[in-house]
Amino acid sequence: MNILYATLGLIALYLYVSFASLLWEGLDRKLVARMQRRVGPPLLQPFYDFLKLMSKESIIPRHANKFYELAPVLALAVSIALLAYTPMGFAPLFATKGDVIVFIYLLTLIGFIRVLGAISSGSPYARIGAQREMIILVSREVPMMLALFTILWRLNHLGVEKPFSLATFYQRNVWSGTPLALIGTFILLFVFLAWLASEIEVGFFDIPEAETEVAEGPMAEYSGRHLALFELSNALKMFVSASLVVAIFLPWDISAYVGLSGISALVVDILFHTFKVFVVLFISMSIFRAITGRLRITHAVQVFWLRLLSAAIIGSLILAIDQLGVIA
Amino acid sequence: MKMFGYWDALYFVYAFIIGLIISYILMKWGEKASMGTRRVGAGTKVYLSGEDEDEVIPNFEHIQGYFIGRHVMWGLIRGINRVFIAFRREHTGLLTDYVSYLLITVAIILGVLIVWG
Repeated sequence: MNILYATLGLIALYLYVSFASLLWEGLDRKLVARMQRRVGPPLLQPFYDFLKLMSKESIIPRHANKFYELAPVLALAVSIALLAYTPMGFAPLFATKGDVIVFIYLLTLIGFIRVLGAISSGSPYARIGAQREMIILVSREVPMMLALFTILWRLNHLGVEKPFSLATFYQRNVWSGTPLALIGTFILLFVFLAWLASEIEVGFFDIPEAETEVAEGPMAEYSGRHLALFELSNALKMFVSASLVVAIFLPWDISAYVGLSGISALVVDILFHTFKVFVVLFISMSIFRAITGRLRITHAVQVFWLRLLSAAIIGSLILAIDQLGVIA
Repeated sequence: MKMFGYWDALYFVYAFIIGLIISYILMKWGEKASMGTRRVGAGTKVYLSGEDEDEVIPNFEHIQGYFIGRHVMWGLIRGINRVFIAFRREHTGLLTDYVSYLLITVAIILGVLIVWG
């Protein structure tokens, strides 16, 4: 790996994904507005929001400690570092053997930093939001990890070089196999879509940031450029989480079919990847957000531990039965 | 099989530092382009907290500044301690003492059960 190219690639990727994810937020708001027979904001509203927040006065609460101001910078830094480990239609820029672990670790770290920043603000609203965020955080990772590691285990059995690497998904298609494996993979896809909705906190899982209830939860005290940095980091996280789902379940790229190579192939792949991310987010974010309301936190925990975890276990068992040839 | 290569941790630190630099530049740009930061004054009250700068409760002016959780906790502990000191002073060692302790304990437990429903 050429470190200079990787660095330039990371910066370019950061600029591109910031643009694409903010554009998707505008698209999402417009689409949901049309579903609800509203006109909705202009397509570029998230960009206006970001610029306006950057230019506004930032208010630091009297009782906030140092970490309050540090948290947005750290959250954005983690999101950008996460881009180096995200499959974007090609293998991650800093692809290594165990980058799946790093990916999940960084994704969780963003939520953790949000919680720390919220607690540092000293507001009771932010504290309630932080508690809810923490509860959701520990609940949503379990079914997702089980599903992810089952898929990696299966790909490992099918024969790949680096089983715990995100580049694996571009070498082997998860949809190849017997009809039984297809059913198992489909159940795991469902688990992943639900996880994605909870990762970006929409619909059922809009609990930590419940606007009408706890006034944006962890973000209650943030304003100005601090809030802008958090919003940008959330947008990046949304794109990155959807990229994981796309890389696992829709890994196809078109550059090989068109017969491109080099830089043009990369550009075509990343554009096609963005399109797939938008499709996945349309299902897991826009439609989900438009047709569901917020759950109570106890219900959400039940959904994760009773429904989604059992779905993940069933999917994993089906894949294991198929892979080990229990019923040949 | 090894999960991570030798230099991978260093690559991660490198990627994280790049992210830190970019977000720091964004923050600095925001600091320069925005209307500044407000750290003191009337606007820095925590949102909808019921925060009361004078720390005065109507009809309880005599405990001004002494109604936070720490004071309540130590007040309770001190009260319980005083109760035990009073008991020890009055203790005679007769059976009637122990019967009355038992009755007081039962009464407290019943009271707690009734209050908590």
